[in-house]
Amino acid sequence: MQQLGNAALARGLRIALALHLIALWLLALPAQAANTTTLPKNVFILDAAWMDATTERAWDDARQPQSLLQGIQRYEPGGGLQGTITAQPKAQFRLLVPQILYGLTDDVTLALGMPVVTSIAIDPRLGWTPGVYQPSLGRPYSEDDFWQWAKSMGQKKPTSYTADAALADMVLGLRWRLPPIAFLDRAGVKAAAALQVALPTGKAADPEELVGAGTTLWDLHNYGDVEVHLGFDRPLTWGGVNRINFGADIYYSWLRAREMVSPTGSKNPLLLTHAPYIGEKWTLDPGDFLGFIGSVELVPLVGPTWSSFISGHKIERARSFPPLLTVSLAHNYVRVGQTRFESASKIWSWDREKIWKPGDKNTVRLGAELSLLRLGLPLQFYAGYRDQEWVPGRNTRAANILSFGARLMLRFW
Amino acid sequence: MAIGSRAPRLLTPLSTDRLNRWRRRFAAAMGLVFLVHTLAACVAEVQPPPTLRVLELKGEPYQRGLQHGQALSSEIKSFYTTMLGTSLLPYLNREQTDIAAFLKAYDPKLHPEYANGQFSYRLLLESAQELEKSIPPGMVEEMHGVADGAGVPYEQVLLLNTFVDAVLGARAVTLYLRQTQSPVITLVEILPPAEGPAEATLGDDGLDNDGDGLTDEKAEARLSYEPTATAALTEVPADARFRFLLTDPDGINPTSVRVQLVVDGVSKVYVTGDASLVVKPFVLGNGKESPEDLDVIFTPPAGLPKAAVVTLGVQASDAKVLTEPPPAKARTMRLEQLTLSTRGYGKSGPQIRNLGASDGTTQPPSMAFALRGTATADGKPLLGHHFALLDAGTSHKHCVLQIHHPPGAPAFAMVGWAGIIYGFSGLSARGLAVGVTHADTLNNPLVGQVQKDLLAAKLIASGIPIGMAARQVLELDGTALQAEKRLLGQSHTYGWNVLLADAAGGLRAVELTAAAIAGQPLPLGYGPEAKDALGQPLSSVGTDDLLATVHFRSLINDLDATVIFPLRPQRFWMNSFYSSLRTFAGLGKVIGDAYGQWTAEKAQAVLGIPALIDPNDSMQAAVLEPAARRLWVAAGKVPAAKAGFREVVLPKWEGP
Repeated sequence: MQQLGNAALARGLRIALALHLIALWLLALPAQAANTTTLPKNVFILDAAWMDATTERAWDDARQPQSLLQGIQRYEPGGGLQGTITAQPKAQFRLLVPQILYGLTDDVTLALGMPVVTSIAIDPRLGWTPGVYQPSLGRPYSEDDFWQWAKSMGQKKPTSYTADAALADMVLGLRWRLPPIAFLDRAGVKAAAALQVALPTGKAADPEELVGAGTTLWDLHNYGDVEVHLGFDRPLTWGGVNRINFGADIYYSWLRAREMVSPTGSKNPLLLTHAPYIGEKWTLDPGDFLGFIGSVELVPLVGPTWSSFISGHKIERARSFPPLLTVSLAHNYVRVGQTRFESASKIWSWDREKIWKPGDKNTVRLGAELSLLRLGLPLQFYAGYRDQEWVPGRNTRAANILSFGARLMLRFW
Repeated sequence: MAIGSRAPRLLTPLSTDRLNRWRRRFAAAMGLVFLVHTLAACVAEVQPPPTLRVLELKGEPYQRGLQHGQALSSEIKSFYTTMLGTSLLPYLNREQTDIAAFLKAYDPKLHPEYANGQFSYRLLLESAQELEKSIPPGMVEEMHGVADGAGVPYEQVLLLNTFVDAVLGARAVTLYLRQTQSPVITLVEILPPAEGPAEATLGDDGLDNDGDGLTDEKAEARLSYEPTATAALTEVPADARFRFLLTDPDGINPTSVRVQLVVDGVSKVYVTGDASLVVKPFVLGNGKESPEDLDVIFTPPAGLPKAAVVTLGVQASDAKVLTEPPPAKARTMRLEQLTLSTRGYGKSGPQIRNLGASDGTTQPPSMAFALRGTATADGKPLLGHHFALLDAGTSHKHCVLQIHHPPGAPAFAMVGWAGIIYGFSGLSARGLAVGVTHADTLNNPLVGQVQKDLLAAKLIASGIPIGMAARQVLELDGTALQAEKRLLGQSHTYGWNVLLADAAGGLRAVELTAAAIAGQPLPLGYGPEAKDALGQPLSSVGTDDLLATVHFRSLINDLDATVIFPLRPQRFWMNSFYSSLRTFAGLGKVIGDAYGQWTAEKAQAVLGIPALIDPNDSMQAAVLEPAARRLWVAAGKVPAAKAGFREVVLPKWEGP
């Protein structure tokens, strides 16, 4: 509504959440040293995670917290500033992420993630700062005045948006534990490379909706169409158990350009009549990500270890299983490139590009994993919390995610 | 190849070690390339489009239009959509109910072509087609070129080029109707203090307080109110109370009354409920309370300062709430402003300006100033211009400086917008500068139509769009006097104040109306030598300057006639009348304070002074130096001067 008349509201409310799905499947592996672990040959893991992501805040160019939507000034033709629409939108995404992982060889693991956005709820939480005195009204516009005015021009006040379940872009990944490299090996460091590809199964946002979101990776804004990872782990062992692991992962995510349909204003004539001047289609080229994750995992409880059918009734093998409880702390720094909007209107494009300038995200992750393998059950449970507000980012939006999950390990032959 | 000689290096089989070494080097090089690429991709930032586009247009009119359209196709489409499609057109559609109640030609039931949201589009299109008849053929060809170059229908380009002229007349009519339906002050009375001894009253002070030439006449303390540019009363006792009689056929909401007291530029507002304000129904001769009239008695809490200038502002809303068009509101009068002097001040009413102080309900309007000779540092002329009318959050993004190079004729430049072939300020290589501000008037073609066709009239604008008239003087005239003559010979669409400055130091102000109503004052022009009735400079602070805002200085009774309803001069109803007076005075003070020192650089600074600039609808600012053929243009931000001034020099013209 920089024209309830312009698209600022639209671009502001079309929330692109920063969900940290990235490397989810990698973290699903049943062991410490999460950056380099692969499954034994022919072992399956069925993993299901439930995630609740909330976004309320964005970081500006100076790393200062802002509302997801900056104030949008509205004008009375010839009457000056009507006022500023303020908003403190809150967006909540809930996802169920089933994953399947399979050990092709002892060194190569294949994974397929099928994120399903089970619900989206966006509350625009609109407010109003009055503008100048309006002679035609005898007062400045109140919020109610303004929306009455807008309605008389065919524009309804945006209300909360909800959406039902829809598949997001699926992810296919492959991790290859690299053969020992002499100098790394001497330092006790393991290395792995990974490749992740997204399949375009997500649903794009309805261009005619003012408040809304889709389920594509652009909407989720946290994993690329193609990602390349290089991961390292340096476990420290006491008493035959890896008690601490220092990990690092550097990755590059490429996000392809995609063609988008322009809104015609059929539902929001005042705010979303863009097609006449930007063309029927426009191109979105999201900024790529360059990320680094540093992590430390601690084992506070190794737990009792029993020989069981999953260890072939061998206690030595059971002792090689993950400890009963592992906790982790990680920091993920992601440099985000400039997102480009290419349309027939340079002005329209710039109005969007200026709020998608290069920036970064800082994610702090806390995690805990309960593994029952040593007790003879091929089950693991995990919980995590990822926060993007504790450490300021820049030109990005902060999504905080709570997640719970469970894994079942299987071997059929 | 000789036996024993070494094989060429490239053909030498590589050892495994060397091969691996090359592989590692290649991998490292590729890794480096990848790293550089990715880092570059992550930091590269898109740059904003220019805030002001500059177009050099050459050739015949159609060719120039074609170049314009081709260069700014996307801007033209976005300007049309964001200014008209999603802003002005739906906004005007809301007025249909009010207008159709008065003018049956727009009743959607009787005339379905105006139904289904087509009212505003057809209204503007009909005006555009009428205005097109007065547009010089070359400019029509140029508009066709713009349309062809941009790939948009000609109708859209015609609308872009005429909507300002078409809308202002319609806006004036609706504004006036709104004001006539709002409360009005019918009487102002100066009362003695309620208690205690009083100073001499106006009726026995031996002075002509109301400037009517009579002293201490019976009604000296009673004033039939009308808005003026100067003080209405002088030598008022410092202990006076003030009674305002407000009238409205729908009654007046007593809780809506506001009284503003301005002393020494400091404003304080009193509202119903304050001890200083008594608001009560007016009691008729039969002892009954009038449903239409309200008495407002204001007692300044600490009295008034002696020998001072004081301004009182009064505002109220009527008692009827209108729900169409939304939002619901009562009719509210503008803040009427009455200036007076207190006993001992000594000056006559016309010597005291009715300035008051802004209470935030109005913004400074457009302005212009022209300087020369003793006003400027080098004696050379310059013209400053700031245009504020309708930014609507979009105009400033579409600003264009168009430099025309017509074959065999001098170049000229105008500061305008994408798709529009004119501007409100410009300069020619012959050395003529022009700056235009709008000046609301009912002496316009739409009122002319109503006079002719009464309730069957249509609100159709006619005449030459003012930007095209201004452009024509740049194309054809070399001096301010020639330009004035041309402007006075044209039919105009609305009320305009035009300042002209030429390279030889000629300065002229032209006040234009459409002269649509017979028997009313005609448009006129004057120079810095013009004086008002008191012999004071009419629109100047010295001998070598002219100033303009949006009120008429000379045509103060631009229209005073009955056309179905009594129609009044702009000072009675123009929302920005008092802010225009203040801006004019503020500009005059700024100019006067630095008289003799003015340069283009200093003039640019004036166009950024917050007290003189509308912070919301500022559209463009320009300083023009006719002798140097130099323009300084600021546009692309709001306010315009924030964008910084860009310098352009026109090529020298050797011809006539």
